Amino acid sequence: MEKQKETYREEAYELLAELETSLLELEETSPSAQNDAELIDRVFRALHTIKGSGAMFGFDDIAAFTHEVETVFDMVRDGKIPVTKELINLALSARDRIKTMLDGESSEIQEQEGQSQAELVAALRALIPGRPVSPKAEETEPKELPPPPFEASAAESNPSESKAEIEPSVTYRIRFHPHRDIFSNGTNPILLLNELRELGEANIVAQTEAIPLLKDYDPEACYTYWDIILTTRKGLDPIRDVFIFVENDCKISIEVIDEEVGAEESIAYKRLGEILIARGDISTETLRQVLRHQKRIGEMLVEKKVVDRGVVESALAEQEYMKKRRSIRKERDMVSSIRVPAERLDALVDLVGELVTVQARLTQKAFSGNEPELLSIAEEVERLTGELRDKTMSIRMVPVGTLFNKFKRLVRDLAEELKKEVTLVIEGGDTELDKTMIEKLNDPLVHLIRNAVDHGIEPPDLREAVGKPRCGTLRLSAEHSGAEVLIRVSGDGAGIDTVAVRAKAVEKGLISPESQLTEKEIISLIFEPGFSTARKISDVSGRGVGLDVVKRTVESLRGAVEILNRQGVGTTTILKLPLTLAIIDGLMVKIGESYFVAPLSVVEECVELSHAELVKAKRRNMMSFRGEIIPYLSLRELFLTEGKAPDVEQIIIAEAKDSRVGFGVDQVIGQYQTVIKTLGRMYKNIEGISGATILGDGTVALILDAGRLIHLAESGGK
Amino acid sequence: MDLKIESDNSAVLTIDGELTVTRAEELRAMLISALENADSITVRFKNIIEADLSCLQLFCSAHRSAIDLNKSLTVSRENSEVFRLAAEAAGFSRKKGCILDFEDTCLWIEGGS
Repeated sequence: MEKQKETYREEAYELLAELETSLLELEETSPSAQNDAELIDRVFRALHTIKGSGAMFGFDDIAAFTHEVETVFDMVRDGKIPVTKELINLALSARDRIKTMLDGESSEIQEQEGQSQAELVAALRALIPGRPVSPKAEETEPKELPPPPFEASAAESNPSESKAEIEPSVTYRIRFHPHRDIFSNGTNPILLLNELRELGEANIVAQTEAIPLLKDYDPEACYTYWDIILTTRKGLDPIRDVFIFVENDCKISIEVIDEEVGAEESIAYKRLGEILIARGDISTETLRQVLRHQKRIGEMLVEKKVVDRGVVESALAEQEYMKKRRSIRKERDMVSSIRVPAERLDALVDLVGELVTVQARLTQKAFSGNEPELLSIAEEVERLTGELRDKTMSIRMVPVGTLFNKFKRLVRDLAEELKKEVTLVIEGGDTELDKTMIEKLNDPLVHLIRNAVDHGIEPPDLREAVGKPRCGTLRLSAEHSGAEVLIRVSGDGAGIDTVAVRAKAVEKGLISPESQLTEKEIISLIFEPGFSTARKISDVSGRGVGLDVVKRTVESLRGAVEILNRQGVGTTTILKLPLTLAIIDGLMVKIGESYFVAPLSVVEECVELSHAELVKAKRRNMMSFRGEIIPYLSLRELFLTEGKAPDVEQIIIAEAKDSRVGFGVDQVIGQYQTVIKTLGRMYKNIEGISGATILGDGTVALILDAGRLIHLAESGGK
Repeated sequence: MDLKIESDNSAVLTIDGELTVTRAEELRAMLISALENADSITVRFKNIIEADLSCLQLFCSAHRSAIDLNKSLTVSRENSEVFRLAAEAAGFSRKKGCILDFEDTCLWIEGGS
């Protein structure tokens, strides 16, 4: 049961995300867009599933609370309650509330929030026309909410009732026809109907055609019978049990009309008209014209007085009910993905990493042994390992849209709080990134978005005054670019005021008043720790922490941050990130007796410097490369490697952040598939090294942090 | 229970307390009297504690009788929550009225009178 509860939680979190997205979309498209109905349906379905499965797995409080929200959306779906800002706000708050319940916040906090839950319920109930909030409702404790008359309540939430989890759900058609004198023995048929509702999802239609006119009416007679469609996992016996005491006072028929048995095919085939159209015998238009003169079968039957309207209505209800059920089931069957805990994936990646290491050893051994057969086996293993690595990595890839969509709510709430108008445009949501990376990107992006809305986008009136549309646009996009993914956060706001930034930097003592800085250099100051240009510290941003954290987080992911600024027009922040974190292609080099690996993605080419050129380069920390003067850094010197340097040094030309740097190494060994292992806490702050990898023979090679090294080289190795 | 006949042949029937089988005969008599004495009857509820199937049937019957007599009978929405919840629980809710109900004045049409 614990495991199932966990699964429920995971699913519910996803449904809540879906709920939030749908609500926000609904807010954008209302009031009359065509896809409204579909969105409302999505909202309703999410709520319905959260409620239904909640009750099934013992989350009764969630089920009861969600029931209230669902009731409102059921009426929204039927057009009885309009979609208003108030409704969306309430629904969003309710969503947050359900999330808190799911998180299993401590009972103390829940109690504190108990009031707000009761208030929420009262506010939701107030939306229902003709159902004014009774004063009672406001006092209602969450636990005292009326038991919702829905699928899978009572018995199914009982953990001992394990049967419910195994039995497939079956849909029954039940006709319950009590004798006229059933009232005389004190039977209340409505209670029986309610008992049926407790067994599962029920659609109940009373047949009332036998009710006579007042003059012939016997007040103690029961004139009504019922047609019931019931879907339950509990089997036939509990249904029979409901009628056990009235068996002799009524006629009951129970038939199975639908069973959930594996992947089921629809029994229904095309209708005659559809077949004729498919064969080309008639056109759609002809069919439509002919059908226009045809009355619906239900209407014809009613007109001929063959059946009462109620009978037709219950049959139509059955049709609609089954259509809905089947479509839900089909949707469920179509999702052929499986849910795997993230830890298992991580374990798989670790194993693949080990395998890659062993494979490297095998290859090394095969090369040195000079055995043609072993060599071919090693090559085969290398190929397979490479494929396995790629496939495993692709399993960890998650579309960045899952992360982006979360920000819709953030932007909406921020805009509301700051009284600004902002539209969030998301582009490239299907771009995939490593799961770990997505998790770590959340905070930096939240910060960038907050900054953009708070400092960037101007208030509507000001925007209008400078000739911009009142509503600002914040663009969040992702795209692949070589071995990198570029994530852009761009706003059409005021842009960064470089004069203000400079003044602030001087004030904070980050630069001297005389220093000559380019615009780019000034902007890079905002990434310095403790920098904040906001004069007042607002709730939203400007606490002086943040942008430096953004930069550090992104760099820890082996990425880089760049800012494009046009004052008055807007700012774009670009996060350049590597595709994956765990395994990279690297270039192995040797310095002294130690091995190092540089990420291949930054290596442009390798050159050699003669002794004379080398001496010059070392003196100036600059070297000439294809007619260009670029910074030079000897890694042997940087890492204080002992021993004599070779006469001819090999240089790796690395390119990043639009600039080239030459790194001197003793020897370039070649391409190497690198499984990145993080260095322990003790080595976390070593500059120029981002991790380590284990080589085929078991020795450790350090992985060069290209971004940091380039920065070091540009600043003259200091 | 109180029946008030207005001068324009309309009547307001105010019903309070419980709407159960024990009061069904009394209620039937009142409805008959209302339909005999007025052309348009509005039923108002006051402090309804309970409503059962017998009374739902009775209102259905009264509505049919009204149609049969070419008169009208409506149930005021005000304070009708208990009554409507009972109708919902008993599966009385309808999208269209019964065979007699040409003008869709059925008491059980969702969102209806």
